[in-house]
Amino acid sequence: MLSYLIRRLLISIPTLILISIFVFALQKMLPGDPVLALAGEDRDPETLNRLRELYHLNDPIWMQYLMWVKGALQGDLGQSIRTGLPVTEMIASKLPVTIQLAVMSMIFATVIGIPAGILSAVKKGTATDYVANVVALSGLSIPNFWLGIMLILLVSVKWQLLPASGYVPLSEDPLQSIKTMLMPSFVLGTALAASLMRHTRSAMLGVLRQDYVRTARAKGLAEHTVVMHHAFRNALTPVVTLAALLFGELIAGAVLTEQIFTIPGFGKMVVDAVFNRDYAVVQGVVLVTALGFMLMNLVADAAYVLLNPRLRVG
Amino acid sequence: MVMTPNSPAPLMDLQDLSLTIAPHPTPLLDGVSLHVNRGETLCIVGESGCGKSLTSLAVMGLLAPKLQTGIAGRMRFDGQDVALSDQEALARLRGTRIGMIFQEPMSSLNPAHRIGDQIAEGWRRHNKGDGREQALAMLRRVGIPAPERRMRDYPHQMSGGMRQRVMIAMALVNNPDLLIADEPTTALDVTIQAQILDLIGQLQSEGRMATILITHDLGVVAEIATSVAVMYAGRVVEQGPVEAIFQDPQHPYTIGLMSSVPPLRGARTRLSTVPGIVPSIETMPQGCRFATRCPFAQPVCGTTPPLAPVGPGHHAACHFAPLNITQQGAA
Repeated sequence: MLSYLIRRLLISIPTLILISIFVFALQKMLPGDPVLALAGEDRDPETLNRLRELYHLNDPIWMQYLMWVKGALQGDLGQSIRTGLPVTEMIASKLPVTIQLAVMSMIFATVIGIPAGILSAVKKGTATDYVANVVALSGLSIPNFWLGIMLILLVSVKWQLLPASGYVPLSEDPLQSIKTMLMPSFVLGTALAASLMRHTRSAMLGVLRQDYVRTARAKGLAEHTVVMHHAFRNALTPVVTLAALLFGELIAGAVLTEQIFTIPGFGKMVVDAVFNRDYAVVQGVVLVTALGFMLMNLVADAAYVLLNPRLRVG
Repeated sequence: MVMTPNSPAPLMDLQDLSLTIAPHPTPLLDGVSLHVNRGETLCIVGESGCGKSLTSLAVMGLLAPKLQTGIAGRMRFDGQDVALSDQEALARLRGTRIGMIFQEPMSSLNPAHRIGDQIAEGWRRHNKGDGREQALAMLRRVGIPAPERRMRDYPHQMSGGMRQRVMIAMALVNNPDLLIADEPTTALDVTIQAQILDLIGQLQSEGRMATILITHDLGVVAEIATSVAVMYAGRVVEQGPVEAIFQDPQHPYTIGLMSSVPPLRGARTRLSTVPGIVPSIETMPQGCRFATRCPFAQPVCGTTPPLAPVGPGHHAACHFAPLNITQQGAA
């Protein structure tokens, strides 16, 4: 188990290097000379050169890259030209918001999507199956922003049950925090639930045909044991993979949903940064997002090992 | 009922099992009647697709849901009447009174669970306790070396023969009255086949368990069967004691099957085969289903022959059955 995970970890190193080169290149593609921008009105060649020395801009490009990697490894991702704040600090302040939203959305997605997928596979061809599929298809087709606006209109404006927007940190007022996040995470979660449901269904249909499911029935086991313990357990691998990837996407930020509910998360920060040409921030977010994806892939890999005993040997 | 007057009541007596799938009026299984006594081994033989496996799955209540609706017939199991369409009643017998092992030991065990747990859960379902002790005892009984260690193994860590032993342990953990083995050795090496059959025979002799063995290996049948049922195209065409079936086959199909076995001694002659192929469900003839391939077919074969007694405990479904024996004897 451990050697497998270490191997996976080693495999992710080249990916990480590629990502860092890409992110660094992003910075270099920045139009204009950053030194000119920094120097402002003062175009004194002496000053410009001093600034170039200061920021190592006269060094060869690979040197600059290594310096940047060194900084990134130490948690220094540069400064936002807009706010002047360190990018690391900005990301650190948004990350809890995004993670809370992602986790709550994922809870909605799995709690709705997986049981619906199991049910429609077990009841294949019946009314239950058709209803589940139609609902899932609607979930995939309805745009998030529309569902979000409708929910605000209904739940916040008409019934006045939940706050329409805003964000309260979890540490400040847990209950209020969860309440404000409830609608946005529902909007995000239902869309993901639909694809989770489709994947769970097809995985379950494949597994339910297996000989060992018939064996489980031959033992006289109760139907729910057959379905959950014998079939679902073996159908989990593709479902876990998808869930991990979806979670990675959630970390990248749900731009539209955060905009609608005015949640100060990653998505909103990226949109603002792009509009303001705040490249250091975009860069930092891309790096963190890529790391998040890789982390989720590792989690999925670890889950495979737990789910599939055949991977545990060797 | 297929039974001689002075024999004890059979453990399982399957009566008139038929299976029809909606668009086809011709039943896949047509009036299948079988019986097996305690302590005895009934072998069901016949070509692929003759309904051997369907029959056993119907008895277990394990047919695919869309087939379940087409079942008719009853079975008398240990004095208790069960309709074969009553899925709940069949489910109550499954795993406790009737155990089953399958053809494919490689795919019949769940790859995600330890074999000890897979055996124990069958016990847990029908008894109190965690079943670990029983699972261990079963592994020992089926001859798995170092059973304590093997309990924690996953199926992929075992060979095919070992897995089939585990399947047997699983099927027998609740000490069932009847074991149904659906071609349990087809997927195994020849030497392992003999071991598995010996094991089944040995386990059977330890108690009063009855066994239904589905096979197309007549050598195996001669070795371990007490009685034999020959199936053809969804019907039982002959059932009787093993000696009678081998030495005095009455149905032309059985006669054809018997002469397709290579003799161990004597002159090597060209093996005879049963000419023709099994008719499909669309082209199934009216009356005797074997008529299209039968060398003795007459106009009367357009009506279905009943499974009629032709000797002690011996029945055949042929209009000419016991008649053709005298003809043969005269020839």
